[in-house]
Amino acid sequence: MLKVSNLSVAFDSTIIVDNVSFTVGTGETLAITGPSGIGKTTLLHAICGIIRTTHGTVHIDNVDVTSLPTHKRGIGLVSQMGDLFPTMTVSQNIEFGLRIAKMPKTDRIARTNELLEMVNLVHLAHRNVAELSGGESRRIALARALAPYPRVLLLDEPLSGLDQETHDALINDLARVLKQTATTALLVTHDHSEAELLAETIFTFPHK
Amino acid sequence: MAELLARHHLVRTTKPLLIAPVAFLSVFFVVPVVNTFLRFFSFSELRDVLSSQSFRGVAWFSLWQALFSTIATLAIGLPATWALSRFTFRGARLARGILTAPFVLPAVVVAAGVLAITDSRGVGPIIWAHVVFNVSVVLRIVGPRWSMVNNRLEHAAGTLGARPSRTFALVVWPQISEAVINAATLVFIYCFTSFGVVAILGGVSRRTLESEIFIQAVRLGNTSTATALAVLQAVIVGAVLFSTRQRSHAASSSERLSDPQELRTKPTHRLIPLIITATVILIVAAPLAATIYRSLVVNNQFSVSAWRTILSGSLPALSVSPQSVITTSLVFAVAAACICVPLSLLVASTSAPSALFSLPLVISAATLGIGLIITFNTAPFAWRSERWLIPVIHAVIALPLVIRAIDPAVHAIPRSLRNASATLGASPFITWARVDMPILKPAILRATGLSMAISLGEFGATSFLSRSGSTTLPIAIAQLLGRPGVATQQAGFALAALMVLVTVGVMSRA
Repeated sequence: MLKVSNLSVAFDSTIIVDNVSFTVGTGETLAITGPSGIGKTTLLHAICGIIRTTHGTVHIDNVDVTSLPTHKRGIGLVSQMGDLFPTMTVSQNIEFGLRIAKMPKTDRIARTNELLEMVNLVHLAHRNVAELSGGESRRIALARALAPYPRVLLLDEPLSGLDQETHDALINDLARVLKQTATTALLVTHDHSEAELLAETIFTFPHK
Repeated sequence: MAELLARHHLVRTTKPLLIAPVAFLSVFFVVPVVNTFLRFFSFSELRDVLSSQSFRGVAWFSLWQALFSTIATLAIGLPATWALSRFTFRGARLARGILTAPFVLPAVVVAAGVLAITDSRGVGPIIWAHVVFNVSVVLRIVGPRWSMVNNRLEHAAGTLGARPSRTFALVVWPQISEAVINAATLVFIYCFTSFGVVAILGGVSRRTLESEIFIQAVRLGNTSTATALAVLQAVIVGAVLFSTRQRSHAASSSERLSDPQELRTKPTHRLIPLIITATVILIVAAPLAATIYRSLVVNNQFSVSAWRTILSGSLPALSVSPQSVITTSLVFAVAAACICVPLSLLVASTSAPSALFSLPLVISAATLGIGLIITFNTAPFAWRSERWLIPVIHAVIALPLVIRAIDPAVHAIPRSLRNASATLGASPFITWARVDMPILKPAILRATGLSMAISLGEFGATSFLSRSGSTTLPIAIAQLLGRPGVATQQAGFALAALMVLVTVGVMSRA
């Protein structure tokens, strides 16, 4: 479960996120919608600790993680561009979080293969990430974020900038994977139809 | 906005990384230089220097030779930059490599090459050596900017009736003028503070302020006079930097430059760039080739005796064997890189650029040299005769350029990759080791090569610190070329040729 309470982020005297509160139940998906530039990505970054909050708290499974550094929060993030590590292959990217968690090699390989199967990209395991298409990159980024069993998955416009065909294929895959893994997820999007298809609850980001 | 906030956070959290580089630069650069000025500078000494006809002559020579060298460098460097940044042709990459190589070659080697051709000393050879050394500065600074000037703007001006010269003046120049001014400023400062070139090609009558500082401080022991000269030199350099900074800001176009443009390959366009490039290569590469030639030919006879001597023999003109000189230089180069590259990485990783790290570019090597022998002269800091001080000072001198080599690569790593790594459970250190470092590997290799090349070629500050057991290659070359005797001179050329080969080898692998 993710609980955000009275969260605010300010930069100098400019308030970017103002007193936002919501709760995402375990295994549920909440979509946050709103126009571009309103502070949705800033909110996600504050939840995972990339940006410091000015006020408010973040609880995951009833544990206050507000003062924890990003790498200790157990949050997975899929960003707009995928952000795959360019010096690693597809499987090395997926394995990255498992190596950090010091998972034994056999388990690591099994988990990587499981995720590659889940996103239907087993054949690309040893491919250089620079050779992937936009849709493939997003799938691998999703698999990489899910690999270390995050307690919460944050999806920052994961389908933006894709052609219609890839978008439609990926949205179905994403819905299937979220259901299959029963992950608690927070989706940021400006596309209402995307939010309606993927999330149980929709939260409209308050205007400043 | 999220990126801005993250960057703000990064600046705040990475500031402690600056402690080591700031401490290093403070101890080995700021303290010696400030100490010199505090202990030895007096206005009466400066007045004496300014009223001395001899010193005024040295200052005047420093100024006008630097001005002529800068004009000559631009006159030769800009056409080559135009040819290589606006056109593509077979061998263009090799040409760019040949023209940029002298930038990391020691000034004494370039000077030795010019001497090998002219066989005479004076203003002409000095200017030629400065051109060889600095064409690469123009190419490196102006080239990337010129390659981004949008071809379509030139075509548009042409269709509106502008002749090529008007198109250049009205469309191209406003976009490259800032880079040209920056390059000209750097070239002027390098030439104005020239030491190695003037030491070899100046003869007894031609001296720059930089070489006069060395003579006054080391040969005559007039530290106060040397300090007054150093202040005079720093004031002139500061004034040049200040005035050109104002101009370059005024000339700066607010228009965003486009991405690198398609290069023209039409045969009608290719002949002129080819001729220009070939001519400039001849001017730049001839002295380098001449060092190799002079090391192998004596009295019109082919001979490898000089190479045999430097690789396995000994020379009466040197107090140590040439092999020991080569080993010392290589050890110093590796040690300097081991200090300089990690410090540069720390500075680049802080996202907090500081003018402090550019100071070694502004304060001349001779000024630093005086500071070192004065400051590190008494216990418990009596380090001036310590061998380890030389690579440390090489690292100080290389630091600004190595930071500039690494910094763009560090900042090119998307912040989002580090965020992704952190959300996958990696601590900042693991992210640095497993995400940043593999991406930075090519830049680190390049920076290591650059640092080694600068150390191998450093002459100014080393002249103050070098002892018989710590003679470096440039010092040995200057000693050999400054003495009479065919065998001694040929050995000097052989060492210079060796440096050409080693430096080009190091840089091409980096």
